[in-house]
Amino acid sequence: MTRVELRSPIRLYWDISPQPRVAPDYGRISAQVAVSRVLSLNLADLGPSLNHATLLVLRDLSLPQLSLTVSAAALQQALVLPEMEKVQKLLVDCAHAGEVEVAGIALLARSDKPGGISFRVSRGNLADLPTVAAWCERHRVELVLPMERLVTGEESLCLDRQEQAELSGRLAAACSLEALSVTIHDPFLWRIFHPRVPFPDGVCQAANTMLYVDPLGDVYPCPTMPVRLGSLLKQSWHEIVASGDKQEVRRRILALPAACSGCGRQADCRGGCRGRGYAGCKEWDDADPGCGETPGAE
Amino acid sequence: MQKIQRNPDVLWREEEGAREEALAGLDRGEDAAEVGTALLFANGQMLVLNMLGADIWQSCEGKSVDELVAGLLEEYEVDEAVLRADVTAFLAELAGKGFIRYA
Repeated sequence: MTRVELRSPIRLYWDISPQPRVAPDYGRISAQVAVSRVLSLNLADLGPSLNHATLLVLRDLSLPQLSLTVSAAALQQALVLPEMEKVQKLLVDCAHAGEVEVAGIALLARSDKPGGISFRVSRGNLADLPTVAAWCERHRVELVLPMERLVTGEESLCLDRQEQAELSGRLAAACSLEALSVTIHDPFLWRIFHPRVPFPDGVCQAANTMLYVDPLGDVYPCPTMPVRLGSLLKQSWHEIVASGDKQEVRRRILALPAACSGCGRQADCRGGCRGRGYAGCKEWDDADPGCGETPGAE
Repeated sequence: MQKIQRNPDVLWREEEGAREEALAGLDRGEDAAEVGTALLFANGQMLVLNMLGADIWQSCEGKSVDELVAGLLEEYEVDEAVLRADVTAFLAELAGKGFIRYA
């Protein structure tokens, strides 16, 4: 067997910053998540220093796997935290190649745990990606290309087929992609890095293996899908996980978008990033604009 | 004889109520092979296991294939050759994904 629809997620992405005026009850959420049998928590605090809330969550929540993403400015603080004992992987959020080098060297010098670079790819820093990948490969540091936060209004990166091919060529020229440890959530970025390897996640896993909690305590299928499933200020984690709204999102995701019908690549991409497809016009039948295909073309 | 070692980085959990569901299906004469009762997760890859797969995963650590098959024969009413073939194929899949290794 390979995949099924799960009753509760195994991966939780939780952004702590920026801190809202009315903060969620971090202790209550942590307690509820702890008993929900989530296996992996990816906590992100990208403020200039680590938030008290992050420390609370790290203190209260024990899960089999916990990763923390911090800003480059907060890296030194994170490295000496006693709470880091519980963090299996420390990632540093970087915006450009220069920052990667500085943060990466600090990470290599001080951390006794696996670390990595979290590089939020955008139009503004796309040209840096081959340099960043080469640096990570050379220093055996994991590169993570995090999911786009379309839920919080981030602009999505959509490359056409020619741009994808050019980037693929520049990456292959810059480093050994086989030797690079890279985590990619976007099926089309995956194809750029691994043109001949099918995307391992298969169909979009939003609201199935993963859920996302934003800084306000609102729960979404994933960071890229702006469909609010509930609020942890008003509902329990269990209520949201078991909700009809979540099941409806899965029903929608499992049906391929109408805009993709007839496309020869749909068996491979399975509709791509469904959050990005939905985000534009709030239509489930829209194609993922990140796929780069021209509608109607083979 | 080589022993099986589970990759300690693989996360896993049993799915709530799924084993009971599979056993109830077996009682009704249904095929339980497609009922996922546990899952493994590592490096972004998830593998859903049926009841036999879950039992293999939970009992394979430190055993040879022969020892594993002998133990499972006490639990499952099945021909040894059939079971051995299923176990061998499943272990090959686990090894291919890096979820186990032999030492």
